[in-house]
Amino acid sequence: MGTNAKIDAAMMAQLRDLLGERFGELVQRYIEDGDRRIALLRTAVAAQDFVVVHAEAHGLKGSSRNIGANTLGDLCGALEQLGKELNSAGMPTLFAAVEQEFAAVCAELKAY
Amino acid sequence: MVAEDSAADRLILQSMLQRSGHEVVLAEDGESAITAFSECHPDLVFLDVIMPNVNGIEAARRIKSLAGDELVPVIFLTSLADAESLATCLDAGGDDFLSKPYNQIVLDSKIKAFSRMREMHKTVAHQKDQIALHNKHLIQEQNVAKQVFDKIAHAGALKLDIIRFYMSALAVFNGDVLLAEVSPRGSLFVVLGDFTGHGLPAAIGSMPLASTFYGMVGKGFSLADILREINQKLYQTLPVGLFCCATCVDINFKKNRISVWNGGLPDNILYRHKTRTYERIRSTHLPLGVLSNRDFKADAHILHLEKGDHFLMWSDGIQEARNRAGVMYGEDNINAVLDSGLEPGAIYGQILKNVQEHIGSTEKDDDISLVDITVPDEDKIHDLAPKSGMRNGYLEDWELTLTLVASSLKTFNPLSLLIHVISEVPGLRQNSSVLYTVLSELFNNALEHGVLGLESNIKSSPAGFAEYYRLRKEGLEALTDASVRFEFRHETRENGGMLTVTVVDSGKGFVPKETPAPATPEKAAAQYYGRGLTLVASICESLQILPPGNRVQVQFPWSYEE
Repeated sequence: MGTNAKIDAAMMAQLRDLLGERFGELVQRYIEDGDRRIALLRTAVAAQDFVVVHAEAHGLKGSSRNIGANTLGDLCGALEQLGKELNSAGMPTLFAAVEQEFAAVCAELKAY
Repeated sequence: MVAEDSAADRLILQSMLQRSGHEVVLAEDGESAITAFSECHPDLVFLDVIMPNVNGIEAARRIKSLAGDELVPVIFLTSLADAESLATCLDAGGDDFLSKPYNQIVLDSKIKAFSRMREMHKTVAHQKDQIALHNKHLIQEQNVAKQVFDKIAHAGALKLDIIRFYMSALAVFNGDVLLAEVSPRGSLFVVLGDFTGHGLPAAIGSMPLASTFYGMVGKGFSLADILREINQKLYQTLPVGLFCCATCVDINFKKNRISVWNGGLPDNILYRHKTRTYERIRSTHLPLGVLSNRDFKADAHILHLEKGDHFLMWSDGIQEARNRAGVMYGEDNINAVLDSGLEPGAIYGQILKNVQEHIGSTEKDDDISLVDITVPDEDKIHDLAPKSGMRNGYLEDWELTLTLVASSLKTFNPLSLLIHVISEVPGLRQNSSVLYTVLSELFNNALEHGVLGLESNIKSSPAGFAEYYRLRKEGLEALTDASVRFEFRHETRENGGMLTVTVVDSGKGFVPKETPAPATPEKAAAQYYGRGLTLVASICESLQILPPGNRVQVQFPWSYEE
């Protein structure tokens, strides 16, 4: 891991300790869940469906914070806020950043 | 239960809960959360706010309503930051929040806190159930007691249309008691009592009051006898501090006369029809149940009545009735009504109306009782005459013979039994202690001098007394063939009666040999038969010693007029 780690290492260590042999299942579920939400967000951002943007960004924010992916959590929080404010300006840009960060987090997760 | 649509978050929370030793039920959305809740009845519910198929807010509402009286804490899983969203969660029945990322220590503390809250809630709910149960029992018991109470303290003659009354109760039971009954001689007896305290403790005292009152009025006893008996009963049975302020009246409509005994109640009022003025009958006695009968005085005020007059009495709840501001209705307001020159029949209604207006809708703090008795026209008086069925156990003309033979003479003292029978005659009851003396002397005379043949002059010295009683004891032990017979005859007379008692013994008789027959029976007793018969002769109207001297007859007249 470099200094540009996407995931809080201490949080990862705690989760590994907590879940034991089910840690792999956690990683798998996070990625599957995230993939599903990213796909929904992509469609919703294009269609300016603010309700879905708000809900899915909120869901991904929570899951990301739970695994210590705090940068991704913050980006999702910002996107959730735009959805809530019905603000489409900057939404595609922010979504692109979320998508990119999610890919990086997944890559890092798979390395654990 | 954990309801959360993110599989990863669900897994983390499930693992944390299991690590702390909890059993976990999982749900993926709001709808399955509600189903799982009704199937598994979890103790604690974690709900994500934003979930597909029924969101967390609605799920919380449904779960809370399913839980009913049971406390099932709902903790929302959210990092919702704005106050408005948090308020929505709380409104829906949420009890707390858990934000992401989850933290084992925070989670454990929250569960502990809610566990304590659940325990407390269970205890409170249990105690609430117990209180409800106790209260139900209490009401049931009171209702049963009330049925017994109402049978004993029944309405009696209160249904007569010359009596108007108002009684309020603070509880199921009333500390005030109102009883009325017509005596066999057609007099109306009414008692208004105000026991110290309220409710059941106060009502208990009215049981002996009512049973004594109805029993004795029905048998024709006098006001004084009834009061003495009630006082004695209450004095013996009530604890110190519980007593009964009361007014008891005996109204003789034939003689237009009312006897009033007031012990501790506010002044009673006799409101005159003709003059529209009134007389006060002040309390001149202590309440019933305070003094022993030795100190108790049963003397009543006697007033003349005219038709249309009204007798009014009330408990102190009238003066002391408070309005919302705590101000009592007071003596002055009552006097204002009495002084207003109203038509006599209107006084009762006016006082009652004023008091009720004064109280308004405030909680009453004392029992309120008000009674009004009208002196009726003559043609209505006969309605009060008792039907023959009402004369229960009232002895009029009768005869009784009791013969005791040797075996009974050795062991049985007949005096209590005889006094008991005699006391069933109302006019004799008040003389029962005097009659006891008479019977006692006659019996001793018959037994000791007649049957045993003892000479009273043996008792002239202290040593003689001892000798006398030794001989008496020996004589009784050796007694085989002997008897003493009591013959009672009672005749009712105009306004009273005459009791004749003859005592016959199996002895040889007292025929004085040394002295010629005396001129009068009184002198005979004084000269020849010692203290006993002298005393008897002084009490009775006549005393005769009939030939051959083993037969003594006394006559004891009585009348209703004391």
